[in-house]
Order: sequence, then C-alpha cells, then structure tokens
Amino acid sequence: MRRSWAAGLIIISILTMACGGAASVDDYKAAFVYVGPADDGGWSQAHDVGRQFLVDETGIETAYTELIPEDATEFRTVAEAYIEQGYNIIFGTTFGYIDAMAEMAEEYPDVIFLHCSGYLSNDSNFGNYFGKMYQPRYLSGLAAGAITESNKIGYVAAFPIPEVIRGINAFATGVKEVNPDATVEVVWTFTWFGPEEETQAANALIETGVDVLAQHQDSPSTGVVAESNGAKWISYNTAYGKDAAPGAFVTAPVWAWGPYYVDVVNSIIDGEFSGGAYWGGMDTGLVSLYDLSSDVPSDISDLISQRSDEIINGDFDPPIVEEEFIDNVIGTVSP
Amino acid sequence: MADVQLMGLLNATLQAATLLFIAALGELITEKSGILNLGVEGMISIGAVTGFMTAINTENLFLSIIVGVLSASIFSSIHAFVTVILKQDQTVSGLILTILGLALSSLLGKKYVGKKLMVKIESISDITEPSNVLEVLLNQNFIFYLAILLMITTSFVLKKTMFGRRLEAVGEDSRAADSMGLKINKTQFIATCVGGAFAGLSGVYLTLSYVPYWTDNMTSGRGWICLALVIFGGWKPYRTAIGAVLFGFLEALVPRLQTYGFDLSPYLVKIAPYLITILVLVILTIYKEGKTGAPGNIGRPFFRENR
Repeated sequence: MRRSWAAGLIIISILTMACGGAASVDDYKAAFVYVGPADDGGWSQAHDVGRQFLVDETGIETAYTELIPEDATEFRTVAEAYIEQGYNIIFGTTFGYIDAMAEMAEEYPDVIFLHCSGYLSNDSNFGNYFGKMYQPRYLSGLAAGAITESNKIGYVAAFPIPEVIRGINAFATGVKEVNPDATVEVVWTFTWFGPEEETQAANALIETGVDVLAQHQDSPSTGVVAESNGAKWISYNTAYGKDAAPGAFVTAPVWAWGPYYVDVVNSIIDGEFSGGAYWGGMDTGLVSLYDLSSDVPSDISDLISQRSDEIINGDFDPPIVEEEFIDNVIGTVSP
Repeated sequence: MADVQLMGLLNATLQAATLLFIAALGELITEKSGILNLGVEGMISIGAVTGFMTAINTENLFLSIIVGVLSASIFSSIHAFVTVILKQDQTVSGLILTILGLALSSLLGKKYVGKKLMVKIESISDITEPSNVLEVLLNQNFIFYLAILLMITTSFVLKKTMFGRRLEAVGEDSRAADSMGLKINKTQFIATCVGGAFAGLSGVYLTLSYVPYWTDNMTSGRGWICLALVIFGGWKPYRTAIGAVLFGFLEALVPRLQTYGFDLSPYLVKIAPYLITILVLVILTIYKEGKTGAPGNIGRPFFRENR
C-alpha cells in the first residue's frame, strides 16, 4: 500500500516535470514587420497571408506592423516595442532590416530573429530565409516567350542586385527555350514599391514595341500600363494583384510563406531551431507558378507542367547567372 | 517605331511638365507678393492625398479636384498665418510646411497605399498611341489645358490689371506700397493661399491622372524642382512654362534613356534640374549683374512700425 503510494508520487512528479520542461505554443508570440502595406497585393501581402496561415495551423499569437521603412532605427523602434510586450519571435520581411536584426539578435539572445532575403545569421537565435524564385520565373519565361507576337518582351526591374538579376536571367532562359528570336528588354526603376517610376518605366518599354511585360516590384502599376496598352502581363509575388489588370494578367511566380512559417515556428517550439539559412525551392512549395490564363497555348502549358515536375523532382534546375545578362536580354546589370 | 518612342517621350514630357508648372506658377504668384513659401512639396502632397482619398470614397472626380485644391489652400494658410500675420521667419515656416505636409499625407494616406482607383481623369480624346504632335496634345487631359489657361491668365493679370500691379508693388517694396494705401497683409495672405490652391491642383493631377496611385512620398522632390523653376523662369509665367517643359523632359527621359541604350546613370539625370538652375543664376549674375527678376522684398516680413 505504502509502496504504490510512493510509485504514484514518482509518476506524478515525472509527468509534472515533463509538462513543465517542454515548451508549448502558448510560450511564444510572433511579430511581423513589413516594409509595405499588409494588403499591397504584392510582397508584404504574401507574408501576411503566410502569417494568417501560421495562426490557423498553430494557434500562435501574432501581430504585425506595416509600412516600416528599410531603416535600422525605424525597425529597432518597432521590434523593441514588441519585445517589451513579450513577443519572442520577430520576423523582418525585407532586406534592408539586415543590420538592425543582426545587432538585435546579439542584444536579445532570448528572442528569435528571422530575416527574409538576407545573408546574415548565427547558430542560435538569428536565421535568414528565402526562396528559389528563379525557378518559377523561368517557367513564367516559357509562357512569355510563347505569347509574344512582336518578339519583344519588357522587364520592369527593381534594383540591380543578384536576386533580381538571376530572376531576369532565369526568365530570359525560359523565353529563349520556346522562342529563340524574342528579346527581353530591361528597365531599372530603383524601387520596390514606386507606382510612379514603375508606370514610367512600363510606358517606356511599351514605346519600344514590347507586347508582354514582366516585373519585379510590389505594385501592380506595370499591369495597369499593360492593360491600357493591350499588352500582356506577368505579375509577381501573389495573384492578388491580378484584379488591377484582369485582361492583361497571364500568370505570376508567387510566394507561399505559410508552410515555412509553420515549420520554423514548430522547430522553435520543439527546441530544434538553431539559426542558419533556409533557401526553399519549388519542391518545398515556398515558390510556385500561379495558374496560367487562357492566353498560353496548350502545348506550352504542357511544357510548363513538365518542366515544373522536373524542377520539383530535382531533375532540372534553371541556371543561376548573377554577374551579367544572358544573350537575349537587352540592358545592363550596372546602370 | 522610333516615332512611337519620340511621341511617347513628348507625351510623358508634357505630363511631367503640367505637374511641375501648375505648382511653380502658384509659387510664382506667392513670391510676387514678397512671401517665399518653401512648403510646395508639402502642399502638393496634401492636395494629392486628399484628392485621392475623395476619389476612392466617392468616385466623383469633380468633387475630388475641389477637395484637393481647397485642402492644399487651407493648408498653405498655415504659412500665411505664421508669416503674414505673426511676421515670423518665412524659411522656417516653409520648411515646416513641407515636413508637416509629407508626414500628414503619409498619415492620411496610410489606408490607401496601393489601392486601385476606379475613376481617373481621362484625356480629352481616346487616342491610345499618339503618332504625331497633334495627337499627343489631344492625348492630354483637361488639367493640361487648364494649366495653359492659367499661364495666360496669370501673365495677363500680373502685367495688365490693377490687382497684378498691386501684387507686384507689395512684393517689390512693401513700405512704399503701404504708404500708397495698399493692404499688404491681405494681398500677401491671398497670394499665399492662391499658391497653395495651385499646388493642390498639381497634387490632384499627380494622383488622379499622372500616376493614379497613392504611396508615401508620392511627390518625391517635385516641390523643390518647382521652387527651382520659379528662379529659372525669372518670376515670369511664360519663361517658367519653358522651364517646366525642359525639366519635364528630363524627368521623362530618366526611364527612357535605358531603352534607348544609353548607359547613363538615372541619378545623374535627376540632379540636372538643380544644376541647370544654378547655371542660370550664375549666368544672370555674370551678364545681368545679378538681376534675376526676384521681387525686391522676398522673404522679408513687413512691419509697419519698423523704419
């Protein structure tokens, strides 16, 4: 009788210890900092959809702040306010937060910092994450090469940095595969969200005779210009922007951050997270090509799904070229 | 194809010029009265954001234009109050107007960033691809023609009417004008608010036609180019218009240079308006002994009691 009482006590204490030791989702709160509006129809909205997916899947408490410029002081102010409120996972979703996040990761070792599109990390509480967007960009190039009639495609490009350049080259590789005569003309706007510069650049490209426009920025201005000039449009980021120019929209290489956010938060809760870099391809579902419009001929849409399968299975990967443009691109990588 | 590109460049030049010219003309009127208003950037932003908000919510373009123009005018009355009534430093007040206007427009417009406008001020014809100069002109909207009308009217009012002569007298020598019985404060107050209204019209042209979107810092420095334009134009409406076309041309050229295959940095083209303005000042100093055309009393508050 006495022995079983003791055994019961031991079992209860082990159970209590086990419960106390393992973290649960209630121990974490995640805050997101966006460079644009959360409903911009582009980059920041893609992240916010991912955040909502994270909430639905894990039940974690989240918050977000939008329109925070790529400025170390601005980011720090927002992040510190969240940390004071007990948030212990901070997602920074634009490149320009990189230095502030690296510094804060050292100052706040108990807070986990996750930086999108950067290259810095440590082996404890600071990680970066990004996706192989050049893969679906290559697929969208196949579509663009097939639907151009003037054999001239325009690309409204953001900043001349490796990410953007490899996207243009992957796109042009796709164009070349289906249409060796077509060229891809590039105009740099030096914006991520600059409706005015993007409108001007898209108009300038239309004047050179392009009939398909692709883009790397977060505003749908390029699509609006394409629609009003009867051209076609390869969007970017999400399909939410397509309502801005439904007649011009062909497809878009898109982000799906949700599954990654769920995985990384689960690994944090399980105590398995250890910083580092994450670069997800089409096989992870992080990047993909949105449904094709009826402008794309059926043989090309078959080719696109075939190439898509090859990329996902690891049988094929578009070349990564970041130093210069491939030969069917008109423009310069150092404007 | 070259023709299409040339007409495209001309079209974009006129659009950029219209925006710069209207606000510059307003500033010209303000400065003619002796009040320097460095708040053009802020006033354009206020007109742009209030016009855009009204257009999204009501889809009534006429109302949106009125709201944009009036808001900017009311906003400029802050400057009028501080400098004309309180006689405070015009440079400081103007700079504050710019900073306040930009911040206030960001605050007001936060909800509207990236929203698509369902209505926009359309061009007076339905030409989509202008192939000659006439078609480019017909491809503009009514504000472009209004700008031309304002140019002619302003020039006429300044030169030929009693009001214009009085405005000039106040700006040239307010003491003499005061002793002649002119109402200095009233003239300067009105001139400042008219300048604000013109800047507001530029603002609605920006967000309801030129680039039908709203985002932070939409004006991106155009207000400062307008200030340079007034100097470039020697405080004369027609010369200011020529300057606006020149500066508008440079602005339209930035994205197009890349498609023409020129390897010229866009940043270099962006500083051109300021370089040209400095050059004009240098030339005037050398050849015209510094007679830039600036009103004699500009920037100086008028105190009746001071001697």
